[in-house]
Amino acid sequence: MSLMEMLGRTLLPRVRSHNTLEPYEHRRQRLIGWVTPIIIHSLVLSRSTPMRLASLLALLFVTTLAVGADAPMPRVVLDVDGQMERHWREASIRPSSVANGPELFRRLLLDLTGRVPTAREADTFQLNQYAATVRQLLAGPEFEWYFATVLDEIIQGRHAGNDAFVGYLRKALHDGKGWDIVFREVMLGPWDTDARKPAVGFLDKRAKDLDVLTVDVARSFFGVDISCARCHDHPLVPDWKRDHYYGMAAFLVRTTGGKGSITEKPDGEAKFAGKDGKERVAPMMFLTSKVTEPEAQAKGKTNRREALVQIAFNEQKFFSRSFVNRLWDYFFGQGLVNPVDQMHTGNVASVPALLDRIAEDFAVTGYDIRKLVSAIVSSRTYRLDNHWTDGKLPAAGHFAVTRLRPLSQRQLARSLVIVLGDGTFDGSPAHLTALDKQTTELLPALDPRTNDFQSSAREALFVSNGEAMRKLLTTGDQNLVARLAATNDDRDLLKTAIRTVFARPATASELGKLESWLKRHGGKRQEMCEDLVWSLVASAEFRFNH
Amino acid sequence: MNWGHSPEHSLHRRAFLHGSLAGLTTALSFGNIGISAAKPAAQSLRKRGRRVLFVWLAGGSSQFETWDPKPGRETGGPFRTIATAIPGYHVCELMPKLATMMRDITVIRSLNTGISEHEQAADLISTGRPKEAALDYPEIGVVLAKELAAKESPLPDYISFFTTTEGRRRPRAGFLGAKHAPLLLEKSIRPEHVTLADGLTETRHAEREELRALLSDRFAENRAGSEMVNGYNSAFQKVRGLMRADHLFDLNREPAAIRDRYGRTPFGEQALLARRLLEAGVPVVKVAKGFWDSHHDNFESHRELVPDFDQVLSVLLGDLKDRGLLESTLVIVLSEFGRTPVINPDVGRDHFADAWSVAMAGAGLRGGAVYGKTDADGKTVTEGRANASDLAATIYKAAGIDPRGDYQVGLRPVPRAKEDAKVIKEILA
Amino acid sequence: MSMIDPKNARLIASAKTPGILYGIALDEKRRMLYGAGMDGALYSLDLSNPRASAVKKWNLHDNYVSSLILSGDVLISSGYDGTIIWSNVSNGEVIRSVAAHDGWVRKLAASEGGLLLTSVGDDMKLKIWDGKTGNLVSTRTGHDAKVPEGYLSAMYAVAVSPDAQFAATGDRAGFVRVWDLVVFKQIAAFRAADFYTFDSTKRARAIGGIRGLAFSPDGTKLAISGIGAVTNVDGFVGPCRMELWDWRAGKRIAFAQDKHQAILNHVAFTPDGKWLIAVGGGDGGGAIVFWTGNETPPHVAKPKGHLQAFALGANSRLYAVGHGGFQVWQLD
Repeated sequence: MSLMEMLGRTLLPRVRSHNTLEPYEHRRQRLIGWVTPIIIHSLVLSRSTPMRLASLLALLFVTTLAVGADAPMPRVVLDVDGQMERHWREASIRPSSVANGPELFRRLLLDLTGRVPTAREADTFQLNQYAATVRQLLAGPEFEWYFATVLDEIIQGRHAGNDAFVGYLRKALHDGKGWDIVFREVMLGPWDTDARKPAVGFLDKRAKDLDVLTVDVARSFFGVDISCARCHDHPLVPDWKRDHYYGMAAFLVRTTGGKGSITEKPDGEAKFAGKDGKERVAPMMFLTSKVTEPEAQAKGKTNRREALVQIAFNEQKFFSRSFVNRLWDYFFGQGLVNPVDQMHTGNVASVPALLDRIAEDFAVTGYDIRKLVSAIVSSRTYRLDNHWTDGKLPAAGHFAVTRLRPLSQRQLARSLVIVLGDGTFDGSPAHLTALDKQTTELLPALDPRTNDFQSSAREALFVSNGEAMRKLLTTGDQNLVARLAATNDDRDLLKTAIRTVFARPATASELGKLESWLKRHGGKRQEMCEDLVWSLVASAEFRFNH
Repeated sequence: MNWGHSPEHSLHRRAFLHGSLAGLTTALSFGNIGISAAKPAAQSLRKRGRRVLFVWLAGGSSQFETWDPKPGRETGGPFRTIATAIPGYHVCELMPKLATMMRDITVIRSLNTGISEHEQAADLISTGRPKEAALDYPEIGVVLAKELAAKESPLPDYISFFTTTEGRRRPRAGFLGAKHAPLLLEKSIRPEHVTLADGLTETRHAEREELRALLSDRFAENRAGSEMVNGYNSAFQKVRGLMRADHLFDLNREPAAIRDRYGRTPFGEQALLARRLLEAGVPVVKVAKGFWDSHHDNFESHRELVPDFDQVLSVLLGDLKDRGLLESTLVIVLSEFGRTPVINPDVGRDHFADAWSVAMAGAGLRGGAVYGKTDADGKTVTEGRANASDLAATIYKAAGIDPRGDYQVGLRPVPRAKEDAKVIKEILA
Repeated sequence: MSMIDPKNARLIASAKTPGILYGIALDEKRRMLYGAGMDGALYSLDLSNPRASAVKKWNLHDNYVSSLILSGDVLISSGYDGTIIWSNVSNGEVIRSVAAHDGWVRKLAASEGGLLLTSVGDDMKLKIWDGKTGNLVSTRTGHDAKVPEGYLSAMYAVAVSPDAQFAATGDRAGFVRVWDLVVFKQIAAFRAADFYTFDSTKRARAIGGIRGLAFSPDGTKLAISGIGAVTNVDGFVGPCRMELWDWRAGKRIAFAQDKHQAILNHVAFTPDGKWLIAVGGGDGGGAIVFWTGNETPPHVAKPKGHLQAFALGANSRLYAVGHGGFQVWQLD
């Protein structure tokens, strides 16, 4: 911390607002905000040299603060910790402490790049460099490569995995496109250039079926499952009436096409039979019950999807909250609203103020995805330890302790290939492409990550006996098992194995127990290493994000 | 796996392979095993050793085209009825074989379960409770598997088949934990990867697993979310059992004649496999036949679906009976709801939960009991109204499990069946 | 009839009956329209009165009536009770009742003049009758009782060529057979598989079938109607579809499909052969489809109600029956 900063921290008064202790960052920004004009005013108007000198010094001081050293806190907006800390205080919950370095680093790498750290990376990481590490990762090629698949799953759901569409999302992340722009491009295009054309993929898969299109748009972008409301007012959720279902369908009813080209018909209405049996035309109505009047029928000018995008931005609440909630669900294993497609008044967020504020601020940042991700992973809430020894566990919705999360199929497959391989993986585009190829075969055999995660005997059988798994363990003379088998000293062998697979140093007791196990094994060295490595990668520590 | 070597069993097998079902029944009534339908089934079967078979008819099968036909009525549709072995009780003409076995079957015609949306109704019927935000109830089969499981069985406690994708259900373990989740067979009826990997020996396989489990347990200590590790470990525990039981899943080990009797349709094969699994001691098996959601062209669809169901279920019940398994196996035919009395313009029937039927057979039940009535058009229940919780409670009771018994969920005791559930005593033995 | 203009097709009269009517018979001379269906009864509609209501006459069968043919004063009806009944259309007097098929009699087709009558039923038989005396002339088999996937099949459609030389039958799995009515032999067979959708992954069952068959006026071509590839076999969720075949060569000449989701239950040529018309209904609502038999896309009119059968009358009129009763359409 610089001298200036130290001075600043001491001198700047802490202001209590909304019962939260204002973080340093806020204070700094506020100071700069109101002091600077005064100083400049003073500089301009002062007549005496000592006054001028004083003003100059003051200005210098403020400038240093503004430029600052490595500011450890994020900007004013997206203040996850502020809201969460208030919530814990109100609920009288003491959260767990912050996680240790290796565990946190592994967690971060899995969440941002979809893989575990290599042994080298694990060795180099330092906890006090966390913020810089976050910045580096977000700026690097691996983040956009992997996170595009996360976005793909959010948008496409069961149709995720189309290479062209993922490619579009990668480019979008690369270019720093906001979530609002992605939404617009997916719903409206233009699908003119090679880069933008694949964005049509969402509509393309659904244009032939209005019901599927309506339900998926509501679910993917607004966090709402209105499928029940198609036939009758939703039986459990008073918010969703048939009017809402058909109101949303009305925005999409003129969408037509498929096979790569989407157009808007000049006419067409969403109709349904009301309770009285009479057929009614549904007006375009958003989930907030806000109706959009159809524009004057200028030939080819009316595009109802355009109207939907417009109203989604104006009625920002759903659009913004849904995405924030989805990312929260991704990083924490459950959403602030749970399930993520049941956002309605009967299903409130576990920390409502947090969701509302972050969602508002997310919009203010221009729906900047990287900023949101950064804010989340930089927060203390995200960095909490997975251990809990303080008696009864607080309910998951308090997020007062990090919970185990299963790796997704993609994270698990990639991590297996990397740790079992020859250790040369470097995150370069060539390696990333090769990695994708190697994992294709593994993906369907692994259990999908769902909120209600169930380990199946199917995956266990695959891991135990599957040919693909066996190949990973035994193929190549530079892969992990081979390298271990070539290591003469048992202790070194074990240290390398633990470091490579778990991305952390081995503990003394571990080494002791495993050494005995090695000695008891009795088989050939190669087989012994295979069995050891299998046990490590098949163990819970590898299988879960912690 | 006990195929049984008693003389009676040999008799069953011979007669089964060569004779007709009717002849077999006659033969049995003279033997030591008097499975006569007129007498209620034996009372004092131990809980342990009981098995349950769910036959899930996904999508909502039509009670009009199965157990509660209304011939000649405006709502009845074109199918006529057929007399059954129970005087005065007729079933749809699409079920001639089951009609002859009615003395072994129990029907409830008076279900009124209220919910007519697929997902929610399936949740309701399969857990016996309406969905609650605060508590994740386990599926009835999972509860039964937990209660009926033998202590150190190498086999899974619950195997569930669902090879169609529409209406596919993954039985929820709910608050009982992932440990009790069933083995899911979705892509095929045979688990993949049940043979030892190339170059691996049984010993190494066992030792690896031991180390893996040890490491996992140590890791999970004091970690939030460690229940998932329990579930993960359970999955691996089942692996060896499954590997040793691989031959159970091999239908080629059944004589061709038996395979033909069940039929080579997916449902037929799953039913035969279910019998093998039940016989080997797997306590709970679920087979699904989908998809019954005939919104249009209902009669053609049921004409396609019901005869296969009739053939397979009758063969299965007969097979269980011949092997002496029916009295200790509770067979439950369930759906998520029935279908509307009104026939819609596209000659279809839509969802209907106000008055519909389920059928059961085997352990704990009074064979030949037909409980409850609906009105002449099948629009409402007139007698014996029962809801999903009542059905669940009755299933538990028939399986020899106390529906009032509870599980501790945190600080809260949660009874198996809903507090106000009423067991339908009339159909119990 | 050649002056039909599909774009002008419009409903000019309708009359309600309960349930669904499947069979239709038109008596132009006496200006009467007859229909029968779900409740087994005969309904009539007085065509001379545009505001007439349907009148329930008397019971015909003990189950659904599937087909009606009028030959002078004689009404021939088929039913799901397995019988074919000849009755007097004026007073309902039964002339004869024949136990025709083991199972539902699905359709009747007769030669012009009514000398030859053909029927198909769930026993998978084509039966050929003397239309006047009711004597069974021949029984033909050939359609498989089971679809390739092993479930029960059914014969849904039968047609007789205008010169009464040939009959065609179609079943659930899309198989079509053509029979020589002089020597009573099968002379052609082909499969129009696009009309049958078996969904083995999602729902493990099927929907569709050859629902309508019609010979062209010169007898060389066969028109088929039904539904195209169905995305959700729970319903008629697929494009309405017709095909035109050179039945001797076993080759499809052309097909017509429209996005309108419906199954077409009945198809017929206009007498001059210029148009093919089919009626039906499904997820998209009712349908009357007009097609010229070539690459020109068909035109779809959307009646309210799923239609089951129709008859063409003079002055470009189309009479139809289906869910809800009778409909009369003007086609020019």
